[in-house]
Amino acid sequence: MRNVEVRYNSDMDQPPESAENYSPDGVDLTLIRWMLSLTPRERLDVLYSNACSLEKLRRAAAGR
Amino acid sequence: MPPPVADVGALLRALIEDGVEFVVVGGVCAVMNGAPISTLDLDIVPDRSPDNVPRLMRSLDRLEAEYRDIAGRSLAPDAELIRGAGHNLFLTRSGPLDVLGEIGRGRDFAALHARSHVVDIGDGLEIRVLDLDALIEIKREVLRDKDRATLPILERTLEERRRTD
Repeated sequence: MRNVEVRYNSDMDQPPESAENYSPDGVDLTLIRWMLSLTPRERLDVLYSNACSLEKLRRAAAGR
Repeated sequence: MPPPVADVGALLRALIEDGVEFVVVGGVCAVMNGAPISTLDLDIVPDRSPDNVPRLMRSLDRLEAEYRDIAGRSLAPDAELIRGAGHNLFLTRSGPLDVLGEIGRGRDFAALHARSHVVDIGDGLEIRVLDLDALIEIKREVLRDKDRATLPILERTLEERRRTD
Protein backbone atom coordinates (compact mmCIF):
# COMPACT_ATOMS: atom_id res chain seq x y z
CA MET A 1 0.00 0.00 0.00
CA ARG A 2 1.28 3.49 -0.84
CA ASN A 3 1.50 6.27 1.71
CA VAL A 4 -0.04 9.71 1.36
CA GLU A 5 2.58 12.34 0.62
CA VAL A 6 2.21 15.38 2.88
CA ARG A 7 3.83 18.59 1.60
CA TYR A 8 4.43 21.52 3.92
CA ASN A 9 4.72 25.18 3.03
CA SER A 10 8.41 25.87 3.57
CA ASP A 11 7.83 29.55 4.42
CA MET A 12 5.48 28.95 7.28
CA ASP A 13 6.26 25.31 8.08
CA GLN A 14 2.52 24.70 8.06
CA PRO A 15 0.31 22.41 6.02
CA PRO A 16 -1.45 24.06 3.03
CA GLU A 17 -4.68 25.95 3.68
CA SER A 18 -7.26 23.34 4.56
CA ALA A 19 -9.89 25.08 2.42
CA GLU A 20 -7.98 23.94 -0.68
CA ASN A 21 -8.35 20.37 0.43
CA TYR A 22 -12.14 20.36 0.56
CA SER A 23 -14.84 20.88 -2.04
CA PRO A 24 -17.52 23.51 -1.25
CA ASP A 25 -19.80 20.68 -0.06
CA GLY A 26 -17.15 19.41 2.37
CA VAL A 27 -15.73 16.41 0.50
CA ASP A 28 -12.05 15.67 1.29
CA LEU A 29 -10.36 16.09 -2.11
CA THR A 30 -6.98 14.86 -0.84
CA LEU A 31 -8.41 11.36 -0.35
CA ILE A 32 -9.93 11.40 -3.85
CA ARG A 33 -6.63 12.50 -5.40
CA TRP A 34 -4.78 9.83 -3.44
CA MET A 35 -7.21 7.09 -4.52
CA LEU A 36 -6.94 8.24 -8.14
CA SER A 37 -3.15 7.93 -7.90
CA LEU A 38 -3.45 4.20 -7.07
CA THR A 39 -3.80 1.31 -9.48
CA PRO A 40 -7.13 -0.59 -9.51
CA ARG A 41 -5.46 -3.46 -7.62
CA GLU A 42 -4.16 -1.06 -4.98
CA ARG A 43 -7.64 0.45 -4.61
CA LEU A 44 -9.05 -3.02 -3.95
CA ASP A 45 -6.29 -3.65 -1.37
CA VAL A 46 -7.12 -0.36 0.40
CA LEU A 47 -10.82 -1.28 0.46
CA TYR A 48 -10.19 -4.73 1.95
CA SER A 49 -7.70 -3.44 4.50
CA ASN A 50 -10.08 -0.66 5.62
CA ALA A 51 -13.05 -3.00 5.87
CA CYS A 52 -11.03 -5.49 7.97
CA SER A 53 -9.83 -2.72 10.28
CA LEU A 54 -13.36 -1.41 10.77
CA GLU A 55 -14.63 -4.92 11.48
CA LYS A 56 -11.84 -5.41 14.05
CA LEU A 57 -12.83 -2.15 15.77
CA ARG A 58 -16.50 -3.11 15.68
CA ARG A 59 -15.75 -6.42 17.38
CA ALA A 60 -13.54 -4.74 19.97
CA ALA A 61 -16.29 -2.21 20.73
CA ALA A 62 -18.78 -5.05 21.14
CA GLY A 63 -16.40 -6.64 23.67
CA ARG A 64 -15.84 -9.80 21.67
CA MET B 1 -18.10 -18.94 10.18
CA PRO B 2 -17.89 -16.97 6.88
CA PRO B 3 -16.00 -13.68 7.08
CA PRO B 4 -18.23 -10.59 7.63
CA VAL B 5 -16.08 -8.61 5.19
CA ALA B 6 -15.94 -9.49 1.49
CA ASP B 7 -12.59 -10.69 0.19
CA VAL B 8 -13.42 -8.99 -3.09
CA GLY B 9 -10.34 -10.37 -4.86
CA ALA B 10 -11.26 -13.96 -3.98
CA LEU B 11 -14.91 -13.49 -5.00
CA LEU B 12 -13.99 -11.94 -8.33
CA ARG B 13 -11.42 -14.65 -9.04
CA ALA B 14 -14.01 -17.39 -8.41
CA LEU B 15 -16.57 -15.75 -10.70
CA ILE B 16 -14.02 -15.18 -13.47
CA GLU B 17 -12.66 -18.74 -13.22
CA ASP B 18 -16.19 -20.06 -13.76
CA GLY B 19 -16.65 -17.81 -16.79
CA VAL B 20 -19.50 -15.79 -15.27
CA GLU B 21 -20.47 -12.64 -17.20
CA PHE B 22 -21.28 -9.76 -14.86
CA VAL B 23 -20.88 -6.03 -14.21
CA VAL B 24 -19.52 -4.81 -10.86
CA VAL B 25 -21.76 -2.12 -9.35
CA GLY B 26 -22.19 -0.54 -5.89
CA GLY B 27 -19.42 0.31 -3.46
CA VAL B 28 -16.69 -1.79 -5.07
CA CYS B 29 -17.50 -0.15 -8.40
CA ALA B 30 -17.14 3.27 -6.74
CA VAL B 31 -13.75 2.28 -5.29
CA MET B 32 -12.54 0.87 -8.61
CA ASN B 33 -13.45 4.24 -10.13
CA GLY B 34 -11.30 5.99 -7.50
CA ALA B 35 -13.87 7.07 -4.91
CA PRO B 36 -12.63 6.92 -1.29
CA ILE B 37 -15.55 5.07 0.27
CA SER B 38 -15.88 1.83 2.23
CA THR B 39 -18.12 -1.18 1.75
CA LEU B 40 -18.44 -4.66 3.22
CA ASP B 41 -19.90 -6.53 0.25
CA LEU B 42 -19.49 -7.09 -3.49
CA ASP B 43 -22.49 -6.18 -5.68
CA ILE B 44 -22.77 -7.65 -9.17
CA VAL B 45 -25.40 -7.60 -11.91
CA PRO B 46 -25.00 -10.85 -13.88
CA ASP B 47 -26.08 -11.72 -17.39
CA ARG B 48 -29.25 -13.75 -16.73
CA SER B 49 -29.10 -15.62 -20.05
CA PRO B 50 -29.60 -19.43 -20.15
CA ASP B 51 -25.86 -19.86 -20.77
CA ASN B 52 -24.65 -17.70 -17.91
CA VAL B 53 -26.97 -18.64 -15.04
CA PRO B 54 -25.59 -22.23 -14.77
CA ARG B 55 -22.05 -20.79 -14.64
CA LEU B 56 -23.10 -18.44 -11.86
CA MET B 57 -24.80 -21.29 -9.98
CA ARG B 58 -21.60 -23.35 -10.22
CA SER B 59 -19.58 -20.45 -8.86
CA LEU B 60 -22.02 -19.86 -6.00
CA ASP B 61 -21.79 -23.55 -5.15
CA ARG B 62 -17.97 -23.42 -5.08
CA LEU B 63 -18.18 -20.31 -2.89
CA GLU B 64 -20.55 -22.19 -0.52
CA ALA B 65 -23.08 -19.36 -0.91
CA GLU B 66 -26.21 -19.25 1.22
CA TYR B 67 -28.88 -16.56 1.40
CA ARG B 68 -28.37 -14.08 4.22
CA ASP B 69 -31.52 -15.07 6.09
CA ILE B 70 -32.75 -13.03 9.04
CA ALA B 71 -34.32 -16.17 10.53
CA GLY B 72 -30.95 -17.96 10.36
CA ARG B 73 -32.10 -20.66 7.95
CA SER B 74 -29.59 -22.33 5.64
CA LEU B 75 -30.92 -21.58 2.15
CA ALA B 76 -29.01 -22.56 -0.99
CA PRO B 77 -29.01 -20.29 -4.08
CA ASP B 78 -32.16 -20.64 -6.17
CA ALA B 79 -31.64 -20.52 -9.95
CA GLU B 80 -35.25 -19.44 -10.49
CA LEU B 81 -34.78 -16.39 -8.26
CA ILE B 82 -31.46 -15.56 -9.90
CA ARG B 83 -33.17 -15.56 -13.32
CA GLY B 84 -35.52 -12.87 -11.97
CA ALA B 85 -35.07 -9.12 -11.57
CA GLY B 86 -34.78 -9.23 -7.77
CA HIS B 87 -31.85 -9.00 -5.40
CA ASN B 88 -30.20 -12.17 -4.05
CA LEU B 89 -28.09 -11.44 -0.97
CA PHE B 90 -25.59 -14.19 -0.17
CA LEU B 91 -22.98 -14.94 2.44
CA THR B 92 -20.12 -16.98 1.00
CA ARG B 93 -16.88 -18.42 2.33
CA SER B 94 -15.23 -15.25 0.98
CA GLY B 95 -17.79 -12.88 2.55
CA PRO B 96 -21.00 -11.14 1.44
CA LEU B 97 -21.92 -11.22 -2.27
CA ASP B 98 -25.05 -9.55 -3.65
CA VAL B 99 -26.34 -10.84 -7.00
CA LEU B 100 -28.73 -8.21 -8.36
CA GLY B 101 -31.08 -8.86 -11.29
CA GLU B 102 -31.70 -5.16 -11.92
CA ILE B 103 -30.69 -1.91 -10.24
CA GLY B 104 -32.08 1.63 -10.39
CA ARG B 105 -35.13 1.92 -12.59
CA GLY B 106 -35.07 -1.49 -14.24
CA ARG B 107 -31.48 -1.46 -15.46
CA ASP B 108 -30.35 -4.99 -16.26
CA PHE B 109 -27.03 -6.50 -17.40
CA ALA B 110 -27.41 -5.40 -21.03
CA ALA B 111 -28.20 -1.81 -20.09
CA LEU B 112 -25.31 -1.65 -17.61
CA HIS B 113 -22.86 -3.44 -19.93
CA ALA B 114 -23.29 -0.60 -22.42
CA ARG B 115 -22.08 1.86 -19.79
CA SER B 116 -19.20 -0.13 -18.33
CA HIS B 117 -15.48 -0.59 -18.92
CA VAL B 118 -12.93 -3.34 -18.34
CA VAL B 119 -10.45 -2.98 -15.49
CA ASP B 120 -7.26 -5.01 -15.06
CA ILE B 121 -6.98 -5.95 -11.37
CA GLY B 122 -3.69 -7.83 -11.71
CA ASP B 123 -2.80 -11.54 -11.73
CA GLY B 124 -4.26 -11.77 -15.23
CA LEU B 125 -7.76 -10.89 -13.99
CA GLU B 126 -10.04 -8.44 -15.76
CA ILE B 127 -13.45 -7.32 -14.56
CA ARG B 128 -16.20 -5.21 -16.08
CA VAL B 129 -17.06 -2.19 -13.91
CA LEU B 130 -19.93 0.28 -14.32
CA ASP B 131 -18.81 3.76 -15.42
CA LEU B 132 -18.77 6.34 -12.64
CA ASP B 133 -21.21 8.69 -14.38
CA ALA B 134 -23.69 5.80 -14.77
CA LEU B 135 -23.30 4.85 -11.09
CA ILE B 136 -24.04 8.46 -10.08
CA GLU B 137 -27.10 8.54 -12.38
CA ILE B 138 -28.49 5.35 -10.79
CA LYS B 139 -27.86 6.58 -7.25
CA ARG B 140 -29.72 9.81 -8.11
CA GLU B 141 -32.61 7.67 -9.40
CA VAL B 142 -33.04 5.67 -6.21
CA LEU B 143 -31.73 8.22 -3.70
CA ARG B 144 -31.85 6.15 -0.51
CA ASP B 145 -30.32 7.65 2.64
CA LYS B 146 -27.05 5.80 2.06
CA ASP B 147 -26.95 7.16 -1.51
CA ARG B 148 -27.41 10.72 -0.24
CA ALA B 149 -24.33 10.18 1.95
CA THR B 150 -22.05 8.92 -0.83
CA LEU B 151 -23.32 10.95 -3.81
CA PRO B 152 -21.19 14.07 -3.11
CA ILE B 153 -18.05 11.89 -2.90
CA LEU B 154 -18.87 10.20 -6.21
CA GLU B 155 -19.64 13.52 -7.89
CA ARG B 156 -16.41 15.16 -6.68
CA THR B 157 -14.44 12.05 -7.76
CA LEU B 158 -15.90 12.34 -11.26
CA GLU B 159 -14.97 16.04 -11.35
CA GLU B 160 -11.41 15.31 -10.24
CA ARG B 161 -11.07 12.60 -12.89
CA ARG B 162 -12.32 14.91 -15.61
CA ARG B 163 -10.01 17.67 -14.38
CA THR B 164 -6.90 15.47 -14.49
CA ASP B 165 -7.66 13.38 -17.62
